[in-house]
Amino acid sequence: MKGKGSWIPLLCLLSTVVLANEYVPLPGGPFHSSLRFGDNGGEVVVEGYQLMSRPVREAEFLAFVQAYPQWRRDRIPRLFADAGYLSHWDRPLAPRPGTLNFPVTRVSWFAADAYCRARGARLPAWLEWEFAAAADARQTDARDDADRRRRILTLGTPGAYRDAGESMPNVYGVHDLHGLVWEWPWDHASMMAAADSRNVDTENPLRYCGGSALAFSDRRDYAVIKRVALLSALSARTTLSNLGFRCAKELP
Amino acid sequence: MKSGVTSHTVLKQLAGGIALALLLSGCTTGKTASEAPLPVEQAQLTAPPVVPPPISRKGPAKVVVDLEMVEQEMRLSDGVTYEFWTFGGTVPGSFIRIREGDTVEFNLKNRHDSHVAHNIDLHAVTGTGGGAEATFTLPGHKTQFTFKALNPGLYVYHCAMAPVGMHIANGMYGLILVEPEEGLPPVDREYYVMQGDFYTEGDHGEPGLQPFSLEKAVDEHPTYVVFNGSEGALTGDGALTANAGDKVRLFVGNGGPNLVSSFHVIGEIFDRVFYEGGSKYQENVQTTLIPAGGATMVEFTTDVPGNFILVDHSIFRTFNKGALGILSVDGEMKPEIYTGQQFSGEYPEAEGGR
Repeated sequence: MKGKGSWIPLLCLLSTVVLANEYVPLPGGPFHSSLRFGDNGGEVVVEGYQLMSRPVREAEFLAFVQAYPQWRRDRIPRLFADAGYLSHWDRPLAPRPGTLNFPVTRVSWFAADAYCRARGARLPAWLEWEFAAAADARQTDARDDADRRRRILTLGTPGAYRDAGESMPNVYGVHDLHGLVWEWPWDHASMMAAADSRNVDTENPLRYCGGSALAFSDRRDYAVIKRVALLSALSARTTLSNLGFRCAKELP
Repeated sequence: MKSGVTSHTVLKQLAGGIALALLLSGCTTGKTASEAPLPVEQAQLTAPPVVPPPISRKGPAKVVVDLEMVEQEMRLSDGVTYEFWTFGGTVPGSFIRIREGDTVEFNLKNRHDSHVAHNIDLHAVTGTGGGAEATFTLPGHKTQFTFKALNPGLYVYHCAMAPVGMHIANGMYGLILVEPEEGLPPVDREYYVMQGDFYTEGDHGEPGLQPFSLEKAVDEHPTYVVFNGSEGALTGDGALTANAGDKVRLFVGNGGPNLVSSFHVIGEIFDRVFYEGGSKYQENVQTTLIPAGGATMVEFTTDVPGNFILVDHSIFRTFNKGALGILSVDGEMKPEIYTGQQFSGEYPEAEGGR
């Protein structure tokens, strides 16, 4: 019995060869966001939450699409995803060989949202992503580390793909917040605030040259500025070859 | 006499009638012209240092521009590469040539393997953001807007996506020429040259793929200052060429992002400088300032053969950071203009010298 019991997980491992994707707890607390929210200058309090230790991978998303065929690329309404949705897969239920551990990309916000809901979770808010991403392997807020800034600024460029979760986890046990792919936040559509269209200066500050200074509380955090500039351009049905996601949920 | 008066009156009436008819037909013609669809043509874009041919049209057209934004690793110097962000796959980006009064349909694509969104702000555009607000373009997406070229001149275009300095520092700029209605005077050679400053983590010459240095960019301490996107782009096989006696026009831009260029060609005097890319020219100029995000047109005749060196006369940039190009001129020596060396030797020290 003992021998059989130990064989079962090993067989699972061999057949799927997918690394575990656990939720890890993050304590939250007072946090200085690189984005300005209203008048608070970026000072916020993040509630405690749990976050997937790795981005959702191709194998995991394949299982989701098998279980919920309405999210297959050949069945999804165009309202919920553009034509690029899972277009890199060989067939509607067949990712390319050798990519099962890659982070899934070319998924719309709607599909990412549905995946997390189906797993009893949700997409993380931008602040939850940013809170987790501020940490490195040794400290909870490593954003003033000049070497780290340099490193993460050039990550995420073409050719950065590799298996998700290969890199060192940060102090919370979260992998790959930088470098592999951009990730959908739950609240991407409200990140740029200012729905008042009477003043073009505030309507979409990121679209203009000088505008970038308006929305960011830390003008030197270019890794975040670059990321937000991209996220703010997305609509919920957009898919990109370098955009994936991970899920979050409340603390137990 | 009476008949004469009568005939005069008739003539006057006739003339009036003809004038009226002309006026009416003029009106009709004008109306037809404005309603007639503009001829449509595809803009011919060129990679530096090549410039598209002059526009021979005598009237406005609808010009379609298709430009793709590409992020790719390219040579910055010998043994040094950089992840450039480009308009059309080159630094500077593709040269666009249109005519005053043209209506331009601008189609912008961001290649699928780009990792960030881009847009374009053309200084030749009259309208919000110079087109930037209309061209927020995700990887794998395309956007379109249309503008009318109201003002002739030589203009810079660049990406204005946040963080804008990084997009420009990575090479996202180029030139668009709006020819005046009457065209530019014919010349024998036209070239496209654009200066840019680059900021790398490694020192000048440190080999390998060099990442962008935000600190150096913010401090305005470039590692490289180059013409046409890399050290040596305009030397050796890349040198510009002309024959002695040619009339040469250089379209020179400065993408920045930070430095102002003191543009000078060693051994030449600019006959005309259309300073700041505008409509007026100064004559007989040695060195001309080109602001970051600005351009200039210079014209000169290559009277004698030789290698004429394009520099930023803030001269450490030339000798230490790469701002050097060559215009190689072939032809017969003209000793009445320039002899070359006539003597070299010692001379006796003056009596009582130290």
